[in-house]
Amino acid sequence: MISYNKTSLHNERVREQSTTAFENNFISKEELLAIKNKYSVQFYTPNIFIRIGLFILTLIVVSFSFSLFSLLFMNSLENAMNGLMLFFSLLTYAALEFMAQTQHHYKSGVDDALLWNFAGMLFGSICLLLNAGALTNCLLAFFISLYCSFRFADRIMSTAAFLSFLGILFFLFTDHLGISKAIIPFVLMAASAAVYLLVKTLEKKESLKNYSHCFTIIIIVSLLSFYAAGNYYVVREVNNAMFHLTSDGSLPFGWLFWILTVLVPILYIARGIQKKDAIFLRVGLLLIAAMIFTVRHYYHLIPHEVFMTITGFILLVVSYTLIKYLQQPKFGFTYADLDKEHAFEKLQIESLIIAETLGQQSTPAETTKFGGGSFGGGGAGGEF
Amino acid sequence: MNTQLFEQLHTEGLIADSSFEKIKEHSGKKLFSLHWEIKTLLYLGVLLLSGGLGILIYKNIDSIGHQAILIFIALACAACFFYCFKTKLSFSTAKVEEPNVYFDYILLLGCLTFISFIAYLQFQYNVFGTRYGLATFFPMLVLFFSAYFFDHLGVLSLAITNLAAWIGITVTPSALLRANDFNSNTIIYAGLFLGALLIAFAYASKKRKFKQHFEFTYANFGTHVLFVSCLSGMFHFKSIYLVWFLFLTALAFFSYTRSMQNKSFYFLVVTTLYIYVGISYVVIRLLESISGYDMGPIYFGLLYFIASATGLVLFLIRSNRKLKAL
Repeated sequence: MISYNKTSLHNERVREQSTTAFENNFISKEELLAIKNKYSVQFYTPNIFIRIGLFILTLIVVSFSFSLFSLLFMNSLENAMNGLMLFFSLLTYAALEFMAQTQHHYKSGVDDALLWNFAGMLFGSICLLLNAGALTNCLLAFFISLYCSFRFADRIMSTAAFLSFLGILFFLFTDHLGISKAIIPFVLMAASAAVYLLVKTLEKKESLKNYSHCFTIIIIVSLLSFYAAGNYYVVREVNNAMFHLTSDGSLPFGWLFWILTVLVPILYIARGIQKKDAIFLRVGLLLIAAMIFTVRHYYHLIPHEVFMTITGFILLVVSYTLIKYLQQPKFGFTYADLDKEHAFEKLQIESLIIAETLGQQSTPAETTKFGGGSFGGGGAGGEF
Repeated sequence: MNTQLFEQLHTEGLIADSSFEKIKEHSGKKLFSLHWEIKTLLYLGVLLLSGGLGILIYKNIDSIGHQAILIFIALACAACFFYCFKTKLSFSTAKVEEPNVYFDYILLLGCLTFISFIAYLQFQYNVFGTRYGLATFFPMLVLFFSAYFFDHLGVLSLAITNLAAWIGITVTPSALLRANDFNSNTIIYAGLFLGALLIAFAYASKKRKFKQHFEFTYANFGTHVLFVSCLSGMFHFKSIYLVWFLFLTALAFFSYTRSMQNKSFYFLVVTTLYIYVGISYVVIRLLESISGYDMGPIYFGLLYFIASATGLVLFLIRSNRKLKAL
């Protein structure tokens, strides 16, 4: 099923786990070397920066090849752009399989670029050829991304597969089934929950270990979509934009969605703490912010700056108490940074973030306060 | 951690009994670290509180009065620095650990309030008059001093930004590409000077073993500034762009050998991409000059990009292998 060499994938996992064990001082350097010797990996998997560089360069190669290709055939085949795209996507796919199987590229940037290009072009060309409605497009995207996830265990593709699955349900219920549109949020929530439970069981299967990072990302996205489907703001705005259920724009059963908006993040955090589950905890913390934005969008009780000051103060107090409280580990929680190995790189990243967000004080002419940054992410990586 | 896996490794005789015991023991009582969650909350709290207070003060400036605010800022700044001087560990030319969790944040707050204080003085009372250089010079001195004295990488980045502002351009990695339009000669020369200066600092910190861990920050800013100034020199001085291209090539060669020496994948990729932009510019200019031959140059251009990018892919893969083997 999977295009990459399975033994190498397995050995890669063994190496990863052993390296973690080594970093935690459980096994000695000699043991680690012995393991690495026995479990050899023939993949070409470069450092993250090389990966980004290779990704950009591969995209350049592919897009210019396509331009040359279409330039050559443009005059003779006037209306054949879609067919050309389809043909070219298949060429890309051949190149991708070649890189993955013969050249043993694995997460090298080259295979990522080829995969996304293939999927995008295939989807685009068939979309244009069929010229069909939203449901068909979602189905198409679902099947393409599902195939890519199976074959290449790519995280972005799995996310796309999950989202297009939700899209299928959404358009099925809005356009094709004669059921009340008011139940769509619950359908989507149920679907997210079902996918979450399914993935949770699949994750435990030894035979599917190659897909573990795909499962992780689907778990995260399904938790997010579960919340989004029940969020008051999302439901209300989608309703008003697409269905016009009520004349005044209010939401039937609004109180129910308010309960979901407020309760779900708290439940996520509670579960994260109870199960010591980092995913639940982090998603929950993120959604607390979403909840606050939702509430403030409809109930503007105090001005922004007062609100910012108060929340900032509360956050400081909370984190201060937590740090004090967790100086000594309690209930299995600690404040100490457990992987000191990487502390240095993180510090470097932190310094760049500080320069990005706070560094432009001396130029009042500039209005952008919180810069994104095309080159700002430098500084991580094993050896920079 | 997967104990099953290590059990297998153990039976294969790859890990000793004692190591296996340690792994089993560890997987039994898992400790869950909230370090980065809490740190993020702390950072967010500082950002929100300072932002909120800033807007509050701005909106109520009439009832508070400038002197009161200035005094408040000065007091906050003094308090922060007082705390830092009191709790800091003794100075060393090597890396100094922070004495506690809050130290870094308080130092950062102190530095930021100092910058605001100077900016406020200049903006409201025009203390430095038109000598804008002085208004950035003092904060720069304080920032560099704090970065070295208290050993803080974030403050060092601020100090470098301030140095750049003092010299004439604002640099943070993204602002460099977004906010500045490098379209005047002096700015290009200033950029070259600044970049060279920063690279020299990077060299010196490593060579003299004086705060060696500052090297990356200096080299990072320096490399980007140098390359961007060099490229803009090439785009700007159109008539002598080949001279600038030679300079760019020399720079890329220098940066390449350096990245190989330091085993830095990051600088290797950065160098490759910058020199690629330069080479492509030259090729396009050359193709432009032979235009008038119908579609020929366009085909050549496309072929050039395909071939060159493929070549660079192979180059990167090979350099990567070479670096790993070092």
